[in-house]
Amino acid sequence: MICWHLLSFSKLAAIGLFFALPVLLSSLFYLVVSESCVVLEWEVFSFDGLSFSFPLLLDKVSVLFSCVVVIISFSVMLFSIRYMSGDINLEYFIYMVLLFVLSMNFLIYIPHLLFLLLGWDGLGLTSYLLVIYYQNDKSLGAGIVTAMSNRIGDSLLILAGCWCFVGGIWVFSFSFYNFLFFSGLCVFIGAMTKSAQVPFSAWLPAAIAAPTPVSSLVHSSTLVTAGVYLIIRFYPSLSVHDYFFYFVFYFGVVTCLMARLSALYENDLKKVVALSTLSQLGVMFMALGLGFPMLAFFHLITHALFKALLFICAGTIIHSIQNNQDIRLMGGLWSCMPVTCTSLNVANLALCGFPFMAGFYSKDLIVESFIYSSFPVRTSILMILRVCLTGGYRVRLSMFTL
Amino acid sequence: MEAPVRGSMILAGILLKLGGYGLLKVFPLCVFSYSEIFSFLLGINLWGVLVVGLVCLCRVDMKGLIAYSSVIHMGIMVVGLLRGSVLGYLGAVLMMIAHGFSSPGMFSLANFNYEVTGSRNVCLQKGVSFLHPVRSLFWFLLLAANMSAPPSLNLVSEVLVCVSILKLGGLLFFVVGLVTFFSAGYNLYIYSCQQGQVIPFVNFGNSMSSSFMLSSFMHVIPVYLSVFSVFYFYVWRNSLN
Repeated sequence: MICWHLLSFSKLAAIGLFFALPVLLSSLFYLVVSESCVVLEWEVFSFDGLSFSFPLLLDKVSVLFSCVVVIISFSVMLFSIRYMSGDINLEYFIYMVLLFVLSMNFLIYIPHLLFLLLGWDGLGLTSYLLVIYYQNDKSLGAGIVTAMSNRIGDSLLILAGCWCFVGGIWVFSFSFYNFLFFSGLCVFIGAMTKSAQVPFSAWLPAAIAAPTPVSSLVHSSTLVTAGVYLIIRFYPSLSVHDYFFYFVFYFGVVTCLMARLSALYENDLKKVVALSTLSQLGVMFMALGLGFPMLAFFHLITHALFKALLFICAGTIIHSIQNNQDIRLMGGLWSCMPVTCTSLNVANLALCGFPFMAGFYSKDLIVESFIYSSFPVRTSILMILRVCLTGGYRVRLSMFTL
Repeated sequence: MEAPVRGSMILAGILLKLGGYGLLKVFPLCVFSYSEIFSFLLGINLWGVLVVGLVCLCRVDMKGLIAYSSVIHMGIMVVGLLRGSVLGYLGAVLMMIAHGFSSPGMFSLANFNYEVTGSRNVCLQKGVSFLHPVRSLFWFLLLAANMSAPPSLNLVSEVLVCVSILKLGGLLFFVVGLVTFFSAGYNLYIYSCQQGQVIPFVNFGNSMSSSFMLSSFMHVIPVYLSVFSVFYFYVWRNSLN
């Protein structure tokens, strides 16, 4: 007998997400074993040879990513049962998080450039609502910055979708069809706004004004990786342009260095973690620039997992020391919360690429493939600086919190 | 704009569309559809829309802001018509329908805000959404439709207009992108100004009537569900041939 009155809304949501997981895992298993790819397509209407059809694409990449998103949102939901327990707008919050996960899944499964907007714009709007959740001046400002930066990407993606019409193909996305230059540029810059690369990176550290469970969802697997995922998806059509690799690589390196230098001087715990997300996004862009989209995807998956852990630990620490976020006032946490502190440091080590942890396999491969690439030697100075700085700010975080 | 709320709603929903309806009827008869003057008018119109989008960002009067956003939508509608293509025509029709639902809905919500705060000034609406969360939901849905967020009819019409003016050149195309961007700007401006701490001089006793709920609901639902009406336009167009 289930006592329904004992189940709060957040617990029900967590249970629902948990049961979505075996379905996804079994379909992933089927796709991997049969080495197949399923496309479902519904023609909405066709108009003088122009057909609007609504496609769904299920392959290894999309189902695996969706699995990771559902796992992380499940654990975030469990975390928010405790973290948000005293909140009056709890149901609204849970609905918003569920909408957010839903729009991320739209983005993952729909390959059509215009129907993709359903997920892409949905992510922007729900993230705006989640960032302004606390309704103070700081979060309202951060919300506007987030929404407007994401809106640049939205309008560019609308333009790219319209421009594809020139090629006579409205539904094109995953083909090797030679992407028009302009359309490719729009998709690339749109992906940069969503993944907070350098000219558009102001919104990511600002978006920590959201409640911590949301930050751990937004900054690990969903919103910020949407841009990287889009580039991975459009890689065959984007990579025909010569300068694509240089642009992606150098934007990635610059973002990475900027984020790490600012993380060294930051004292807000959540902001340090947010800036480390920014730098890892730079690493993913570098992997794309080196010409290894699947390597970027591998790093995306590992990063999503340890970053969610890191944010959840940070949230627990903030929650238990009376909502203080300044790391200079922390210390001695190992004696009062050993499990949280251990998890934090394990995630930290994984982030630095400590041998035999998750981050090691992906980051090491990226550095190794950089050495074998044709990029000039002077770039390797930036690369070495980048690797050293990671260690630097991670050690600083561990020292302050231990 | 200075009319009472019913007047504004009728004006934005029906009267504004009469001119558009006249254009829709006259344009297929016009043999000069691809003449130079039409391209010229189209360019002027599109830049005008961008300028009005910037004007919207400086307005503090809520009703004035909504009225200016109507100007933007009608401008885009005329751009779709001036192009003289089938897609542009379809986009113009859909834009009129979508705007005919979203704009009166926002006028009625603005009137409700006026009853609560006693002011139409955007800066004096702080905290109203905290007092009436359901109204805040309606505001958000209508504003999202107005900034052409995905499932709404506004996005479909904007994409169709955008596709139809595509072959005229790249620069106009970027203007459409900027219009989309700034439309998000002023819509989020209205929404964001209603958040935050409740200002002290609001009328706490004011509650929502069921007729108000019904009116908002009847404006929100068609904007998001009439996307499927695109099917019928296909049938309609085939019957023209």
